[in-house]
Amino acid sequence: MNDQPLVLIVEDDTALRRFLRAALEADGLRVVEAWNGAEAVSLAMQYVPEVVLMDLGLPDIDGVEVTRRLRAWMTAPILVVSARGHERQKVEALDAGADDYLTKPFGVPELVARIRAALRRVARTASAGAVLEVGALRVDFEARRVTLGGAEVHLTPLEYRLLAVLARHAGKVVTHGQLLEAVWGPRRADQAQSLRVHMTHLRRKLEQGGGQRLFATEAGVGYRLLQPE
Amino acid sequence: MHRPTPEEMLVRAAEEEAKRGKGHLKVFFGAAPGVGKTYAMLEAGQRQRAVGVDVVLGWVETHGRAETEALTVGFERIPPRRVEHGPIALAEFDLEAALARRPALILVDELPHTNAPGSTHTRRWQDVEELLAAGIDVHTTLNVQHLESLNDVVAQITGVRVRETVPDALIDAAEVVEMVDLTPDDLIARLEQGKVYVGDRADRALDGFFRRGNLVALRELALRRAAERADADVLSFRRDAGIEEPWPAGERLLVAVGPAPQGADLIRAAARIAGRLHAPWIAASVEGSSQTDTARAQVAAHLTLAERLGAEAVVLRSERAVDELLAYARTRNVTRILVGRPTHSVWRDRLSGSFLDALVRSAQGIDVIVTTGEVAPPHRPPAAPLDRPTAREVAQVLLIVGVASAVGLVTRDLFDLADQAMIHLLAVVVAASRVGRAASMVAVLAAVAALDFLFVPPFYTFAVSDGRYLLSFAVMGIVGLTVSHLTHRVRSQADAALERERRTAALHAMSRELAGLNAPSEIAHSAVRHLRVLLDADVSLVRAEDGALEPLAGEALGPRDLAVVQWVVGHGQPAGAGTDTLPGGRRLFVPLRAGSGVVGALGLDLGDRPSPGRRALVEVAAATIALALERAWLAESSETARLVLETERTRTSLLSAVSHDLRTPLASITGAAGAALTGTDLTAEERDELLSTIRDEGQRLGRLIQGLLDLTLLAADPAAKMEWVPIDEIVASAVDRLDAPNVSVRLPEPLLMVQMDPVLVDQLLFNLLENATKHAPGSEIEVSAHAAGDEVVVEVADRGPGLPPGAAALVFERFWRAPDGHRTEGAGLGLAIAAAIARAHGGRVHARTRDGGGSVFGFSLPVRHE
Repeated sequence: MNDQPLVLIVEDDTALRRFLRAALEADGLRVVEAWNGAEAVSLAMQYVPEVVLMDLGLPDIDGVEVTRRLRAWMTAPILVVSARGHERQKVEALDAGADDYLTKPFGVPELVARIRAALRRVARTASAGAVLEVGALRVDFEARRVTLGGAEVHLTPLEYRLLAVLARHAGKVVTHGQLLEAVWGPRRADQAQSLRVHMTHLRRKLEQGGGQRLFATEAGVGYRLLQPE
Repeated sequence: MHRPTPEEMLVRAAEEEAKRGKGHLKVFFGAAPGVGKTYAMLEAGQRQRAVGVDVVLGWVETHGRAETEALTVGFERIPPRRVEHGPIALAEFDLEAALARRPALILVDELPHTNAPGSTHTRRWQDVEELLAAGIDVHTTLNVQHLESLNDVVAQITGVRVRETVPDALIDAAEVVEMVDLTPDDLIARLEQGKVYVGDRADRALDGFFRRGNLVALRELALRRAAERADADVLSFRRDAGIEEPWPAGERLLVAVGPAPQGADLIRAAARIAGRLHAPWIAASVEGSSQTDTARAQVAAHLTLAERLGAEAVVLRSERAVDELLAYARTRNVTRILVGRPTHSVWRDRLSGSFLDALVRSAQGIDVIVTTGEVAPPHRPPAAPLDRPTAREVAQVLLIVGVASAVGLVTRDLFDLADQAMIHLLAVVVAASRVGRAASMVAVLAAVAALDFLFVPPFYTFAVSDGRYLLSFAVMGIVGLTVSHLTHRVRSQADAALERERRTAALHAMSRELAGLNAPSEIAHSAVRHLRVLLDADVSLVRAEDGALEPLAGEALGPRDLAVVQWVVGHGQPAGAGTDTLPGGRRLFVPLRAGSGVVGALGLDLGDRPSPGRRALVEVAAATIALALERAWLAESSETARLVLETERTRTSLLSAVSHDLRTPLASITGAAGAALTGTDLTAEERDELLSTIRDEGQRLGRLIQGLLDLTLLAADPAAKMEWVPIDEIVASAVDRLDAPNVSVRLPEPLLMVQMDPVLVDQLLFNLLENATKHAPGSEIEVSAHAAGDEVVVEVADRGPGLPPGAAALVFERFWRAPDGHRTEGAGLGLAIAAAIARAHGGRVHARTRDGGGSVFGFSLPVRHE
């Protein structure tokens, strides 16, 4: 039991915290609870959890700020929980170093799946190879070759770079800002429209009329390359 | 016994109302410097201090007198303000500091003092007025020679014209005027002892101003003024006590004012007479069309003086001064007309008629008083200087005379010399009626020369054989000049009338245009545009609201100008260039006064000092603009109020509708949970049943709350987050989020870009998709998009039961739900939100029955191009 991953739950609502603990323990995860930002930082140092599940609306320190403080020294994935309509807050949290987000209300299966995915991502990153495979898609980073079902797909340099950035963070939401900075360079926030157009072309080339879903679009936040199962 | 009539009581109530909240003024009044006014003031202050009044020393001039100096000990002092004036630093009374300190009583010496340039007011008495307006009691000192109405008398007595005068109205409004008296001999004795002026200034003072004769006269003046003041106090006491007024009511004085410099003395005389009669008085000037600008400015200065002395000032416009003046006097029930003694030669009256004579003859029922000074109104300026004739005029004139001579030459055998003279005279008349006076003289000379050269024997020389012809020439000259003069006058009258007409029309046009506008900024810009033309000046409009200034239109103002505006708004009076208050800048500022008070200020850069006509125009314009702006602002705030009310109403109806939908699932959840907890003998299936009820109802509750949250999301302005987004992306994100099987997407080859808030449109499409999955469970759902003209249409089609008849128009209504048979769970908010999002983007939603079964829900958004 002790080798099970440890989850730090940061949530100020007692009922929700009780429910989260029950749901995660039922799935075999170990749980530590914090009910405000300050305690989250101190418990994280004490226990060094494998995953942090954090509500953004905390009574003392802003959840985005807690994310930033944790990310300063911690590599474990941070999942933030936020309501719909608060897209700006999500983007801020992701830019501050959060790995993923959950939108309230969410179901237990989704929660557990996201936590497991985050853990897998950590394991995979540790053994990150030069080739990525998602279903029929195969990206060979060394040869800069992209194939779909064995057939080579011709991407423009920009499309390739977009795909490479998303692939490197496969399963994770990459915000518009992060993509823009990685592909266009710093301070190119005005290229958002161009980013959307290139992403659409990329998706059209790779998904082929809705045949296979590779990308998830998070409206107002960013994109995610779906995780290979 | 006379009880006050209701009207009188109203007047008194108004007076008391005006006084309430204002500070009380006490004036220590003396005949000459050195009588001990400052001393008396300080003594009074010390007495007040002794009884615990919060007394502050604002300004005091001790002139180094030791005993006066001793009395200042113990007072809190307002530190003087340092004003850099060229190389020297001047110390001035610090009005701002005094207002900030807000004592109960402040002592301010030397009321007539002129402040250093750059001060808020040009004069200290204006500082005192402001202190009083702020509710601070003021003690101050004043010598008789500084009183405006006595200024000229004092000048006659002492031979020294005092420039620093104080309006009588201020003294009349004082609560107490305390006469500080010292006999001339005592004063001279004090002076000799060096108690008044220290050192050698004492000797010089004794030679000049402080001669015994002067002092006696000044003392008499001061005592008389103080007595008049006491008289007024008695009068107001009698009025309060209901004692019958001892003099016949209804005296009214009119003083006729002209442009001569002596007019100022005439006005002061009028003020004294009116004061003695206790009569209201009017200063009137009749302006003819020929009035020059300098004369007009002089009259304006006189009228300003009259207003300061308490008169009502009017400018009448007419060529017939006497008739106009008398007509006006009769309408105003004037009992006496005051005019100045004529100073011009008697010959002028003989030639052009005497104004005074005409006035006295026609003034039946009105007394005419002639006093020293100049007779006023019929100001005939020296004939306007002749303009140089233009080349065109000369050519015109020579042509006309030339034609006359040609006609004369042709008809030389038919007509004799007298006829030729007539023909040339006609030419002169024709020419004079067309050209200026200088050119008319050219016409006369040309006609005389032509007549002489061509028709007067000996022919073809300028010699004249008969002296009689000279007379003809002279007649010709006089006729020409007279015609030209009359023409000129008629023309200038017409021009003046035209100018007035133009201004009236322009003003009218402005007010008409302003009346048609509703947006305050449009009104402001239109007003500025009109005024620029109307006044030929740089114009600025500033709004004042709760002490904050906001430029509306026109020229930008610097911090200095804004300080003036602040004052104008605070006091509701004009200030800036051409006024007595803050005259430093280039601009004149007039308050914009509307029904609710001063709503802003109008700034004008009029260049030179404004003429009275223009100033009146400015005030009319300011009033028009103020009313138009106030109307627009009121409309705006009522529009805002209406919107707030509308929002509030929507929210209330929403809440009342939603509260039912919220309670139902809550009741199910609570009930099911209670049953699951307490029911001991439940089968596993029953327990599962209860738990799934809780889950389903919880989800329903969640959807409902999310719907409400989405509505609040919509309240924010979507335009702020507009971006160009490919339709593909929206379809992909909404379909991802729905995560349902059997959804197919069909998008056209060219990328469709739409300007939108992606989060909201994602929600819009998601709601349509969710609606489809709810109403057509298990059916294939098809999402498609296409361009149609300037719009992009996105549709969600299903193969469900389709729409009930007549529902297409209703499905997007808030809380509409399919009638029984089509009914499913849900609060009915989803489609309403979808419709609201589409509307917020300038688009719309639609629903129809699908060919071959099922329904189609869709939305269209305009494709905007910058």
